[in-house]
Amino acid sequence: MRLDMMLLCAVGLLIVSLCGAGKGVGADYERGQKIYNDKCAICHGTDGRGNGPAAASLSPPPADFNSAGFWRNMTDAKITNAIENGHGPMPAFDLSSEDNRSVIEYLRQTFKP
Amino acid sequence: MVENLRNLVAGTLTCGVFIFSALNEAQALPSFARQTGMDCSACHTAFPELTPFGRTFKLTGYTISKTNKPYQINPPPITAMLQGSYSRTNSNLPPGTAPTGYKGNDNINVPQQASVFYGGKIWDKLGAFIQITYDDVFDGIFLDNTDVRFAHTMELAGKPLIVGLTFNNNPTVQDVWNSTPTWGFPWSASNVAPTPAAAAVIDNTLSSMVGGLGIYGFWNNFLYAELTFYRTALNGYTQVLSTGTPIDTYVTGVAPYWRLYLQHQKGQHTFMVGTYGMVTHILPAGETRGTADRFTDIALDLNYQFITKKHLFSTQATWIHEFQDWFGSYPQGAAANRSSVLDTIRINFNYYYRFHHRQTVGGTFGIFSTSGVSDSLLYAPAPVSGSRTGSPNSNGFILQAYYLPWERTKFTLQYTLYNRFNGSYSNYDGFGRNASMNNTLYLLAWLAF
Repeated sequence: MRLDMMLLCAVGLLIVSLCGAGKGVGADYERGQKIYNDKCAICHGTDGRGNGPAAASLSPPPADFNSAGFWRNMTDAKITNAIENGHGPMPAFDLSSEDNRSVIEYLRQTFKP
Repeated sequence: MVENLRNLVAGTLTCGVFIFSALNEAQALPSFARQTGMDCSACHTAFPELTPFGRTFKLTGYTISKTNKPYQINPPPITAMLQGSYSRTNSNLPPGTAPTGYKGNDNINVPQQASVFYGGKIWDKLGAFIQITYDDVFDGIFLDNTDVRFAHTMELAGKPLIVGLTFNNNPTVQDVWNSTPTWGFPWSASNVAPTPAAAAVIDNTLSSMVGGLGIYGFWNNFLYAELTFYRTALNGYTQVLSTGTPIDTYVTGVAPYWRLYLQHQKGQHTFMVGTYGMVTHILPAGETRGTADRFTDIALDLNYQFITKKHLFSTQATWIHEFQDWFGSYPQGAAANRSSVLDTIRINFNYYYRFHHRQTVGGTFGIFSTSGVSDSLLYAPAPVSGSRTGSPNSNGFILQAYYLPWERTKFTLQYTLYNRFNGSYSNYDGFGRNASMNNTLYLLAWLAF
């Protein structure tokens, strides 16, 4: 009986942790989503395809986060550098390191193919 | 008594606005920031200097918005600005030479200027920057910098092309670079201290006295071209653009203005080289008909910006060469030469250090020079404002320090040093005043909310 209970708990924990590894879970993800929608979506679009309201006027165009090409050789450090210092027409954003991490996590979980 | 009451009201207003501005930092952003959802620093290094994104925002007609709605109603795109300043020249101005109602020195202007803006999208691709200002020295309310735009983005050769129309009231008010006169350094200056007598026509001489309609295109974030035609705002469809401004400079016919520049962006670096200019026919002072003088302004400008999270550096330079043909003034005996030239050079270097939460400190070193042909009638001897030699030559330096405790408030400490003023260093006006006596200390508090 005790073994059954332990097994049940272990399965339960496994399910919870697997759910946690999926998209759209956790305070960090939600924080990243909010920051993304507030600051990034105007150019990169809510769906991350680089098609936000300001995108058409920008050259080079905003990055498409759904593209495999964007993620090839991409590192957190590179994304952080672009957020903090800007790049081309993209302005610099004054985010805390926690906010930076949240946004990058949101990008990876939501858009990375 | 009335003066004390005015100062008390102005001081109370300033304090109130300052506190309001500070307390509402997180919510009450100026209209462009509210419309885009971005911080002020997305568009400005330290206002009013624009970043690459700020320039794109202006070129797209102030219409970039975080929503796809064709309008911006809630919150409405209304913003306000308040400037308060203190000016001290090296030596008191003689009686009768200070602006009416001001002392010979140590003047406090609160407000120096107070403005209300409509800034943002009107409908879809139509947007505006409209500034209505109360000026302390002018002692009146007038339509200040105004630029109404329609902009559309399309593709040309597979690259974005922004095309637009601008309807504005000052040549270069529509420009996106801070090397041109309207938005150029020193951004703000004392309006009670003496300034050199000579200035090119394109150098803010026509502010709020003309109206212009122009077309522009910006291709691939690289090439910009614009052609705008100005006419007097004394009458006709441009009259609304001079609301509140008495027109003392009467432009005849149509004055074409051009702008062309190339820019290159690489990472955090932006380089730009450009030209702008204008051909203007202006009637001699006090005339409303007859033969006009002709002014042909040809200018070159350069910009460089380096922007990172903490360190921001920029430099702006411009040279304006003006050919002056005194077709109207010379026969009347108001000018001593049939034709002459005037050269204006301005170069400035800006550095800002940005702390977390957008607290910023910075400084600027600027050089200015105006030189041209002497004219004993145009630049005649007069206390403070005149020239003993008839020379328009003035030059010097401006040192400026900034502190922005938060994005929408800027404190400026500025010192202007003159090596030469209206032609000379010593006794330049023929009444015993030296150029260095006009050196000016200027403190400014500039709040936007």
